[in-house]
Amino acid sequence: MTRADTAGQTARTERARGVGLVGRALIRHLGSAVVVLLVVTFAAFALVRATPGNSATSIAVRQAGAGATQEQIDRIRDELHLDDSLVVQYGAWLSRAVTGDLGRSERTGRPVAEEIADRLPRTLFLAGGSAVLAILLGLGAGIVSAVVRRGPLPGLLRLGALLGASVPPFWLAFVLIAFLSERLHLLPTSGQSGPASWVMPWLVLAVPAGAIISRVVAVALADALAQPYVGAARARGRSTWSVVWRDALPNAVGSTLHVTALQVGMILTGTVIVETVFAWPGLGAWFVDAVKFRDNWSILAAVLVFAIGFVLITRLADLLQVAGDPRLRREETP
Amino acid sequence: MRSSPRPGTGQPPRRRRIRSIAAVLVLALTVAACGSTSAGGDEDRDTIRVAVAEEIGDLNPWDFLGQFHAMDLVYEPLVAYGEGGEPEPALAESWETSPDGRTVTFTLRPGVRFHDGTPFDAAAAKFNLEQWAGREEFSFLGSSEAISQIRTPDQRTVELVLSHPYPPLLHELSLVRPVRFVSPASAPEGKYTEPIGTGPWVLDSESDTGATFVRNEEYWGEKPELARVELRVMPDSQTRLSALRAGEVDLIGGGYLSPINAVEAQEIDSDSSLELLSGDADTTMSLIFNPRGPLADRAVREAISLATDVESINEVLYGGTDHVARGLFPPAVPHAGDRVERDYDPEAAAQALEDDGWRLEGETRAKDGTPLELELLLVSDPVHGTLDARTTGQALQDALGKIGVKVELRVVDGAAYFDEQAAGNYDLTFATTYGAPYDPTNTALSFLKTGVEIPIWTSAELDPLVDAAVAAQEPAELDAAYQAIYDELEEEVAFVPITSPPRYYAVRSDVKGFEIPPHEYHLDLTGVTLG
Repeated sequence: MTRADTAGQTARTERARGVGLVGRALIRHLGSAVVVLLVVTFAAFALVRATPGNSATSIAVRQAGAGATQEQIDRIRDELHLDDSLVVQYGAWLSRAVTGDLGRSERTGRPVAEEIADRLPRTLFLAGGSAVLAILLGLGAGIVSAVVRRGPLPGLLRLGALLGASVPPFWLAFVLIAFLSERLHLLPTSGQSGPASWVMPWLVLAVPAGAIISRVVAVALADALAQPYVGAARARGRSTWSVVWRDALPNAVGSTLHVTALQVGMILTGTVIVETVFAWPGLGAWFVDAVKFRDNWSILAAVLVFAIGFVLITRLADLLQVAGDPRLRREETP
Repeated sequence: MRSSPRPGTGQPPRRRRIRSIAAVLVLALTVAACGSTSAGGDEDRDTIRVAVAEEIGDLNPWDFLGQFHAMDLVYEPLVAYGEGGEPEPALAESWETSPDGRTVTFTLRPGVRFHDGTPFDAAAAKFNLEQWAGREEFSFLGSSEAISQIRTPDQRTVELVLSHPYPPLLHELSLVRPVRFVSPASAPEGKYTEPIGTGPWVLDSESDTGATFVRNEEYWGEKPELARVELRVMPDSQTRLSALRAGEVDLIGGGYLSPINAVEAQEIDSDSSLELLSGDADTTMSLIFNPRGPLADRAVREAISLATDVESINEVLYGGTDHVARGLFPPAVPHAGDRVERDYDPEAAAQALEDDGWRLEGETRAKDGTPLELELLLVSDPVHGTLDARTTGQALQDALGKIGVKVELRVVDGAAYFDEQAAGNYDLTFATTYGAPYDPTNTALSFLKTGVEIPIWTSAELDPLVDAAVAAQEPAELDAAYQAIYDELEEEVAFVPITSPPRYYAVRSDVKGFEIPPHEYHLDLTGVTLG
């Protein structure tokens, strides 16, 4: 057996062991994810119930305006079983939810599952586009900051990241609309009329996330570039960019995965504001309306979907980190 | 150490790839941007684009889900609400009330058909009236309780027999729901399926981003000039204004359609490409008292009224002193009564409290050990058609602090506001009258009678006055009956009228022929042309 063969075999076993580990990790993660979802939805439900105001009043006021009578409100409360105990109501919701029945929206009268089926793809499209843009922005700015050490560029990028991370999204949205739509007539103010209408919503969500990712990438990459193996590679005559791409970046990326995942999660919840401003008929805007109305089942369903998204993203980051870093796999072996 | 470029290429292949990706991205954005400029231009000048705050929802007239203005495009009433609340013929050509006020006979307009071709006749009218008259979920409408029998002596006549005379009947029949008419064929056995009305517009398509209506070519009345109406959903008011400026929509405004506040109105007014239209106010926002604790004391209410600088509040917050409210209703509401000039005199306010035994103890006055501390309940997201009073609340807190009345502000959201008011968890709050077409009747019945959920003011003296006003028939009698209510409220210093906001609409300057409708639930686009 040649040395190459042995090396190949080791790599194969390592990969196989990696897959087993990933599988086991998946099962473990799944278990804890279910617990997280139960806790989150129950907490959301309890919070909505503890907040003053309820959907029975909202419905009565919609029917009769300020002249709604207690009698009307009580009748609707009764129909909606709002006077059952918290646990009974949550239990009833849960037992229906596991069969896919998320109830009917008290605000729009439509089944919640149908509304989500309509709106979730739009929110995913918004969040997905923003996430890709944020990662591109973050990686690009981060790499440049770490590699280019001289001149005004690193300072400018740091300042830009600070500004990008601190600017409130709704403010950024209005500045962009005022400038790009009202003044320059380049992009439509809102809606979903094609690629031009995606640019601003994507940007507004991507800028703060990208800013934070860029700093984490910059620091991790600078650390990696200070390692002896980088010096060794350069001593062999490899170019800076080749070392960054092939050696330093793969080593640095692992430690940035968690922050990136968190930022993508924030993008998902950031849709709540951005969808309202840009008249984007997704889950975020729908959630805002549901909260205003105290539309119990819609709030619960939206929280559930957002929580699933958050859990998926962070767990995916965990798995990617384990899968991408042989050292972690070795450490996990008993 | 820097590596030198590879010979022949000038740069490493990786870098070239990044450059080309960047170039593609820039190109894509440019193409997208150019695409939008042409789409934003004038593609089809036969369509008016209207921004709306909410999706139109389910247009079932016997449910409570859909938006009024969308229903108004499709469905018509027997009687329309004219200027100043005068009932005008709509699907009914004429009507007559019997001398005892217990039978109202309507003669239906001949030759009217629903969008599906079904004739609008006495049977169709009866079918529709039966869906709400006498039903419990519509008991908030006095008409629903008053109508005891619906007779159809012939195809063109409908007789409503009332259990008691109910003069507001004609007004209520001009509302949007549940009183308008849907094709019986589209609601088999009373189960609504499709929005098929008799109106000038036919629903063509709808989604959660908007809805399109096309002209009803068979319309019995004056046909609309334009071929289509496009409603575009934009929940955010700043976005709607931006869209109007950018030429993506032609019309915004209306209390429920896509509200414009006083600040936005000033912005619009100063923009030469836009035209601001303002109609007579039909609502009033007033400061109201919960007559318990210190506010049971008339002198305290009077002091608060004297210390409230209504002129300045209007000047700074509500677009000018023209909008100062001088009564429970603005003048455009029928039987709105005499205008009342209110004094602003903080010194007299302090004196009134002093005379009544409220003495300064430090910053705050007290009487018999009770400090003069009041809670002002405010709403953070007022429903469409009402104003955001939070800044007014702060102004009031400041003004009353100066005469030794301590005011705590408590802000809750819309869903909680009604419950808090109904539970009486406030000392001071703001209330807004219903507006046309409901007033004066509905405000009187829902805000001024003992036992209502959210009173503006109630008392044993007021109750018989309200009953008399609602039962009054002749115009002179009505004027006198309502004036008696206003006098009683004034005598008690029962509330402080603050502002009557104009009804704002804004159009792009190429929109011609749009007239402000007589009330905010109505969207009349018949005479509108573009270009």
